[in-house]
Amino acid sequence: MESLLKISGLRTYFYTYQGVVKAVDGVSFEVNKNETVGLVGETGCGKSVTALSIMRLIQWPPGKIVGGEIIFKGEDLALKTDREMREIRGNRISMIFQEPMTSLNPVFRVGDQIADVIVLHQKVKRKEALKKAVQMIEAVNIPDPEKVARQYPHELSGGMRQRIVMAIAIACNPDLLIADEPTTFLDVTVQAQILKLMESLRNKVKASMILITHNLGVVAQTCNKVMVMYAGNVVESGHVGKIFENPMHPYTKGLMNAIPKLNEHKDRLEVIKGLVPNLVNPPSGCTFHPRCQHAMEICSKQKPALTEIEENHLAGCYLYH
Amino acid sequence: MINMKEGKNRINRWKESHLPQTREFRFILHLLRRSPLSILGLAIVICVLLMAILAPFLANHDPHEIDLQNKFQPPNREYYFGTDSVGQDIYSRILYGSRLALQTGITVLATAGSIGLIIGVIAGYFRGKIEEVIMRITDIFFAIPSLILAMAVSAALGERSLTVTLVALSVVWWPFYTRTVRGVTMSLRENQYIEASKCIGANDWRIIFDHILPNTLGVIIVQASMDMGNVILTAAALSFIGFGAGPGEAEWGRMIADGRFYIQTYPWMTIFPGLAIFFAVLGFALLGDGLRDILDPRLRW
Amino acid sequence: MEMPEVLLSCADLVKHFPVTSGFLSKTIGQIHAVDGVSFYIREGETLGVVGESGCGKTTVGRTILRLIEPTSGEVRFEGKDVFRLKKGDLKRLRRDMQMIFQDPFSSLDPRKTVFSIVGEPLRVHRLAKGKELKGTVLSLIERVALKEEDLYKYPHEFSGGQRQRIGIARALITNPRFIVLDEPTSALDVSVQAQILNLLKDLQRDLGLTYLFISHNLNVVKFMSDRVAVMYLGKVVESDITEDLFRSPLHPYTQALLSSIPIPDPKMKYEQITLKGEVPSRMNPPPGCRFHPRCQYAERNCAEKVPALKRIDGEHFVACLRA
Repeated sequence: MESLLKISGLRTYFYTYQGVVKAVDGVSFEVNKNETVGLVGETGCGKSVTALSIMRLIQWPPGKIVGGEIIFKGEDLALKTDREMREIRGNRISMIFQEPMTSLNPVFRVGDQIADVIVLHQKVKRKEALKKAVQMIEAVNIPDPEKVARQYPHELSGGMRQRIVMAIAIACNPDLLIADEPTTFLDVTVQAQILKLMESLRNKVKASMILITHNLGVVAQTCNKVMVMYAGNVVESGHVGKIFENPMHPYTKGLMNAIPKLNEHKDRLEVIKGLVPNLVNPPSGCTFHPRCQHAMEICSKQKPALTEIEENHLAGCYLYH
Repeated sequence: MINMKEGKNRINRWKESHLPQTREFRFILHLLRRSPLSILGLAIVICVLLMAILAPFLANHDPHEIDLQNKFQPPNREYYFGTDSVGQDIYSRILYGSRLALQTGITVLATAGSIGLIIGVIAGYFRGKIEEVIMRITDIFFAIPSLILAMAVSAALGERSLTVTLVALSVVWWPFYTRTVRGVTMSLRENQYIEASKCIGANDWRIIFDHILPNTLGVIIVQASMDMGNVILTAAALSFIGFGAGPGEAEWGRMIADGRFYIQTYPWMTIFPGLAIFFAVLGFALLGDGLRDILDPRLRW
Repeated sequence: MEMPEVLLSCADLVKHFPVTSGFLSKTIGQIHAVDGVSFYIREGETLGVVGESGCGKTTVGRTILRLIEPTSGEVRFEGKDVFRLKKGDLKRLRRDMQMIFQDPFSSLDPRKTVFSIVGEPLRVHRLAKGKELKGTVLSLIERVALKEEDLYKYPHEFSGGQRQRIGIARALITNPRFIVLDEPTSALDVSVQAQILNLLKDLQRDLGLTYLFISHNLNVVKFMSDRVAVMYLGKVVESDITEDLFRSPLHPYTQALLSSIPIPDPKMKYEQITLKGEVPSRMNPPPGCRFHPRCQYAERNCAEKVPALKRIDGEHFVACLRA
């Protein structure tokens, strides 16, 4: 498996009035060519900040990448200048955001918005770009692409808008696609369509994808590899089948048990006691230890490293060391 | 006898306080500290306030004392800013003028603010026809330039005095507050807690008093601090034209009017009142700007 | 076994919203948000209402409580006709019927303390004052697992889950019998959602509450509800006992909906029934069966006749001409 993106020890901190928020505190993972990696976790775990760090979209003030490497095709993105990053964004790495309502500029036609990206990166004339834009709209399964290209975002439904956002993202044949909760705000039937579309597009363009979500069902159905994040760290990672069959980290187990499942009948859901920690003053050692039923003394002293427990399955927990 | 330890304890507890009001206040101070212009504005405003409060102590002459022998004196040790055409001390008049300026500003804004608040909330909350009627009326007022409207009201009321100025300026300013309050009310209305209150069984007036009004006060305060400078300026302009304070009154605009024939010969008669207006307006504008920045974007709970 | 009494029934509920345009706000059309919805809820049970955006479920919840005035239809609570009540009686009714809202951030007034928020219903209805008021508020706060020191804090000092608890306490303080829950956990994280759902179930059991649970999340609805009603474009298309509905749905829309839920098991790839087209406009709903343009089984009849919601057996109702 050829490595496309390798993140080592990424740390992104936000310097706020209340203190330093350690949003991402030592995250490492790898994305290979032609695979879909899921980044799973709840609010505040750092998954969105990780994605924004890769794209170097963290604003200073108050946020800054304070450590680590982001090696993309052999080069460290953390060291690149803003100008160099602009060549990469939309071109080699694209991002799809959560809210299709606000991702598109309401005062421009959608065809123009797709063409903008093409003109910017592929240096072709406007007319040529518009033609390509229509092709992109067709590629995302929108009927009557020429008519749609001349419409404004508010004339389209949420699902269609998300498809347009996807069209913009793949317009320049990127190597890596980052999708941040792309279907959270969509209806479940639309979500199914979009996920299917994303998979087929990814295959067509031969891109890898990082899919950020809190929905374990989506992860199970679309990802090859999964990364479970909690309070700025990756706590478990590995092949999707292995993680679902045998979740090791107590947080992963808790997460899976907290979701009401369709094929089971339960009277109560298992609950992870406590609350997500304040990232200004995260708990010492393993950030999950205050909420963990198996916490041992060492858990509060030292942060466990992510180690391989079985093939293609890593966990950061002293239960397995 | 002051118990020092007790006092220290209290201060420490205040610092560690989890009371949201205290923390909010300290946060505001922190934000203010980051914006030097706002601090400048605050400093100027405090100066003006002190001038007004301490005028009797700071002035070394009676502002209305006519002393024809000492007229047209340039600034000297006796008369810091010089004297005017009838020998009145300009320095003392500026100090007392600050009282008039602040009084005018506060009275006008309190009146306009109150009217605007009530009408704006009614328009924004009940919407429909009553909103249309209210907004069209405010539109009519907006269509007339402020100074001209003030002049018209003053003329209609007959006499020319500061009281008339107060009324005229209130008439000019209430539509601004109505519009702002209506806007805020309209957005507040969409919050689910308003719906929750209705669900509980609260009637409209209770909701307005309990939930809407408290949340509009912040906006009014910000707008008022920004407008203060403008009100003072407009009042001075009115006096300058001859509509407000009578001749001889220690009002900044009036002082400029009285001195305008002597700009070339005795410039201090117009320079100092002009500077006073300039700094007062500047101070309020900077402070208002700073307050708006503070209260606007970061207050997302 | 004797079934409990029907506590709330809804018959042919209709709500249309006028669409205005132009300077003088002329009405150019109607949004058919709810177009003839009927159901019943028994005492102590939870009726789940599911559907996608635009199906009208939120409007149903609000109209039943008369937070929105209906266009037509009848809702009976404990036998009383809700839409005919006068102001005074309606206010009294509000003690018995309450709502828990979706957004933990905007459903609490940011300028009021928890004590003030939770105590508001008691003050509005003049049910308690002074010490008694404080005592009641305190006991409710503790029931939702918050502490006495939380009473004087402001909403922004709490997490989303805790805010929902405050909202729940507020809804329960007048001892209501019936609660409409409008997507109460949609804005919460998965682990927090689990806590809140458990709490809601416990409260229902302890206080004998009846719930109308509105959600677009089918997993959650299945967990919480005894019976489920599926809505599409303003109408109920199917309703049944939860287990039965999820096991063998009859209506094509229900089937498509259930098939779209991603299963959290990578070994079971889901076979999704793709619906063609998009949800049609609510201003001009399709004639006949509203689902027919997207239905794979549609026949010519479906575009002409409106299928009525009829009983198939037991508690199973379907609105489909082919049933």
